Amino acid sequence: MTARRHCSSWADLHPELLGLVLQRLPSPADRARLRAVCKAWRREILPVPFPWLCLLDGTFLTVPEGDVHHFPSLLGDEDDALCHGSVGSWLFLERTNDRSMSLVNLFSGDTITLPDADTIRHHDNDDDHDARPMMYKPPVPLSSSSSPDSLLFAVLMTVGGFESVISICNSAAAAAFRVPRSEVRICDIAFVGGKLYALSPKKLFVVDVDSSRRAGGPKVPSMECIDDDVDNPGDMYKTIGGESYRCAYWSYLVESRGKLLHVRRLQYYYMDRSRTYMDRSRTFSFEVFEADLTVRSCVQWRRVHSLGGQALFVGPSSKSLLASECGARPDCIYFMADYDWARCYRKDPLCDCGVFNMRDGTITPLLPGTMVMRPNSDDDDDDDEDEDEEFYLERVRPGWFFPC
Amino acid sequence: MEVDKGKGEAEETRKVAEADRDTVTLKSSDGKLFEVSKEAAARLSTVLAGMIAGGSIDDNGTDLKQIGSEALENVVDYCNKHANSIPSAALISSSISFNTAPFKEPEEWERKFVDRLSHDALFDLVEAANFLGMERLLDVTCHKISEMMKGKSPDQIREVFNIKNDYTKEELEEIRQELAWAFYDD
Repeated sequence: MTARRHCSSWADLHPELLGLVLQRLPSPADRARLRAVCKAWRREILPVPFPWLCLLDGTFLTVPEGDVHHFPSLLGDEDDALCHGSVGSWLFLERTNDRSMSLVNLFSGDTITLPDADTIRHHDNDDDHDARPMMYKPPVPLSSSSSPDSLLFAVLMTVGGFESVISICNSAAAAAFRVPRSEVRICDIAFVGGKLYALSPKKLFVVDVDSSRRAGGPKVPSMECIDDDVDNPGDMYKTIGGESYRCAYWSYLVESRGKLLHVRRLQYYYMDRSRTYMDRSRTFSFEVFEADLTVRSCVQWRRVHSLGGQALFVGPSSKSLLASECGARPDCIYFMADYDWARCYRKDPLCDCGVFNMRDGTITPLLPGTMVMRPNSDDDDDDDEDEDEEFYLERVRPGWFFPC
Repeated sequence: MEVDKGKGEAEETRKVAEADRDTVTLKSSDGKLFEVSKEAAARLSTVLAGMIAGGSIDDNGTDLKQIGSEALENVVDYCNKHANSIPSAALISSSISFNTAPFKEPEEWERKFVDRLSHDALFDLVEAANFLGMERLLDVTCHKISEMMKGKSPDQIREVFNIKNDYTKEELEEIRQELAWAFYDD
């Protein structure tokens, strides 16, 4: 066709239709190139895709459309890989046959090999917890080197429920540090301003990481407590509408615009005759504290009620994104059922998910069609199957995946 | 004009007879008439289904002023082909399981159907499908468009879709720097 019959052009494609096309182009590179085609498309296509929900089987759910992306080839032909979460657009995989660990880029297929699970954990044969399940926090990159071989990561592991191990590794070697049991356990780690921070229920530590490249691989890190009085009200018990609840906090450490944030999630667990039902927990609210790290010996926490236009995506690998760039709501916290000791998400990772608005304290659904339930709403699913509710550790948990 | 009968008794009789017809007549913006299977139209287009159910179908040709004759011909062709094709298992299973692909893959005949279209015709068809609420046809056309974009550079996409580059040199340089990884990736 030599001449167009009418004046409409692909640049004027209805935004809704451009959106439909875009949904079929999950690669961030394709998306970025489309933005560069013309001004109209640049206006319609946000620079950063909205994070996806990474479920337990290599499946991804887009928000809020609820579209499913499945990448079976990544997990191997015989489903022999466990996905322990993601770092950016890299998946953290463990092969079940040889326990090898790797980071695989979902879009390019690039792979960064990590030492195997035993090496990362610095496991020895006399270990008491040999058979116990282990939980990983996806590797936190400690350098932004362009060569994958020289990248350094911090991996937080929880062994047997209480003992924490922080391991610093590159693709060839690992150096693990066992956190003394007196420190209970490390809830989360975050890399801010060139330093690695670790949070236990009561204390904040700075982890000394020798990232200088030298022969002999990473050095065993050491940990220094810089705040031994992090506010933690501990468990509380409440009765709402005649029903008993245990209230407890779950903590995240998040880097946001160069600041270290402690994000505290208040959860209510339904109790019946002194028995706690972990799988019937509901998130009630969030509190965010910003650390003033200027005086290292005296960390001050300040409660904040705004995120300066950022949106937080909390999970095994939390991230702060500029809300306007990814289509999220500003000053909101996006959450799901990722707590590492509740097995509720094995049944339904969306059982406790939502969007908490820090400005007015409201919680709205993450996906249309999912319900937000706070403890004071009617909870009449008493005939839930009542299988053994024993304390249970799940090795993999759902998380956020950042396709960019 | 192909059909423009005056109203009269004969017309009334014809109308009664046509109430039982298994096709409906659609009229494009440029006045051309097309017949399409009523069952397929109702099944594939939420808008036509609503019109059929609401009795707002005009036997002399239901006006679709937003759709040109070439696009409407393709819509009708698609509906009639669909009515004649035996739906495969992929099309029947609509339940979302966590193991399905994000979108239903186009059938072989649907691929061929959109492959033969010129870019202008594809553009008009996707807009027509959107206007008529034809989810399946939108799937098929958007799939085709995304295939045409996949892995291409902005220059190539502009060429394929005949889009004018409306960026200034400075803006382009800025974009190239911002997205260097995406341009030189693969």
